[in-house]
Amino acid sequence: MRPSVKEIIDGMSWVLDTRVAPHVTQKWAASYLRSIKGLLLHLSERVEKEGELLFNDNQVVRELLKRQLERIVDSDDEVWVNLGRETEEALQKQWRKPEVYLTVASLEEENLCYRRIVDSLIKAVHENGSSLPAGVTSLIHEETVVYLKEKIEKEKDLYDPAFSGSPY
Amino acid sequence: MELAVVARYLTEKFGEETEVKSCYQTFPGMSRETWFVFAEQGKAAKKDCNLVIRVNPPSGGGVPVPLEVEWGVYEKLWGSPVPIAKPLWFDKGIDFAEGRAHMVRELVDGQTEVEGVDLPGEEGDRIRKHTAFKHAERLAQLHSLDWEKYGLNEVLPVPSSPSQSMRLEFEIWKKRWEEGKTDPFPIISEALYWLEENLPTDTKRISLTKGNNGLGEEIWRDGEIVAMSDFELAALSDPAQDWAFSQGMLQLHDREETLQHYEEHAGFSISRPTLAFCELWMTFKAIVCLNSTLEGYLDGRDLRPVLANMGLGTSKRMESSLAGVIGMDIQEAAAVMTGRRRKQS
Repeated sequence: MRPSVKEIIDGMSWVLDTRVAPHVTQKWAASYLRSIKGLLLHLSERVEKEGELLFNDNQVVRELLKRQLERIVDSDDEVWVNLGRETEEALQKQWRKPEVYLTVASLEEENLCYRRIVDSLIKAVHENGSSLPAGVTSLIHEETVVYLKEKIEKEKDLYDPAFSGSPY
Repeated sequence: MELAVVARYLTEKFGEETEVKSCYQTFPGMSRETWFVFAEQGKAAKKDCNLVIRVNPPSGGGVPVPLEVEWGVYEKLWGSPVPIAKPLWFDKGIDFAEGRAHMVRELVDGQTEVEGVDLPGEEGDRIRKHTAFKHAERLAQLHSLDWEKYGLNEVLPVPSSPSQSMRLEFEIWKKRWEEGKTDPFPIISEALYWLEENLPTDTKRISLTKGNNGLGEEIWRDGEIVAMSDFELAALSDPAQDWAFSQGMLQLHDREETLQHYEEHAGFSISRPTLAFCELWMTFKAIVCLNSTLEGYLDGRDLRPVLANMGLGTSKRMESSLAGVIGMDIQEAAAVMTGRRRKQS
């Protein structure tokens, strides 16, 4: 459908910039306008990229978690046993029926689950890393941090320059 | 706030007829709403009654610290050598302000901005140096205050020893983060372990710290700070924390000269490595505060777009900055972060 969502958002952004902002003199109103402008810039990027970013990240993080699961599966430490079980469940879960359209909400639900596991993984590495064989902990740590930094880099356009100005 | 509602409330509180002439919210007031009230009291010989009402926003506030704690700091500080506005009362759960927690203090004549601080050339340089030094003197006064004498230990957590100051700070804010975050942030978890490994233990004295301070935060008149204002992030901690959160004060004039001026007035020095740590630590604290604003947005209590903007956008940008320096030497990391901040602003 044309105009696309992005085109409509960009049009709204343009009119706020050129036709509305110059006439807004009250500082609270101008502030709300700046906040809205940042959010519109963000939405303009997000509307076309969020689905693909989530889809791709779900693939990458699943591979990461599969590798880490192999490394922790033999541990009898309670923290690693629980984390292993949680990871296995998430990896085996059928997040949606194969013939169903991939909605952003569904991809986000899956991604949120993985984000929670990765957060627990980081904590377990620092709190319970010594219970794993030498070298394994540092490997898990290194791979996970590299993944997280790459993820931030891939998502950068969603936040920059949209939120580089004053938020209020 | 409607004038009539405010007038009725003040009349009841003071037990004297109070007519409100004007009442407006100061800008930007993201952490708490701050309302200036200009009123007159009495029937025949009217006297001015100018006040500040500080109210929790509908979402609960942009800092994860109850307003009651800030009120307690004001109450204890009143009568100390540190200049503040006279605190009048605190209340919550009443009809006024939809039951939101609020505190009332007298209005101090002055401005939060310093005239001429942006001027180019020698005159601007002179004003900037003067402003930085005056601010340093006030911080020195605050940091050398005998906080036990004024009972600040009754309202703020006390570190078990000076060397444990940053440890206590770390534990308090980590708990706030874990309890309040709206999403998993694995890279912030990683950053927290890195920061914990580098926690300073060289704190020589426990000071009352203000939290956010500097330009835009204090009340200035005739080139002097006549009132230190808003103690929402006050703590008993390492004084370096305030310099790390001084809203550009260390960039106003020569950084080292300003710190040395402070040290001459305070009678003790600021550890530069601890200051560097605190500059990174402030980024984490800012993320905690910014993210905390999202709670009220997500549950529909407060739908101002600025909350989505700060809670999502600004905190994501800060997360990205912090991720970029994890693992670096702390002083090098702080230099990178402050350099970035300058570029972004």
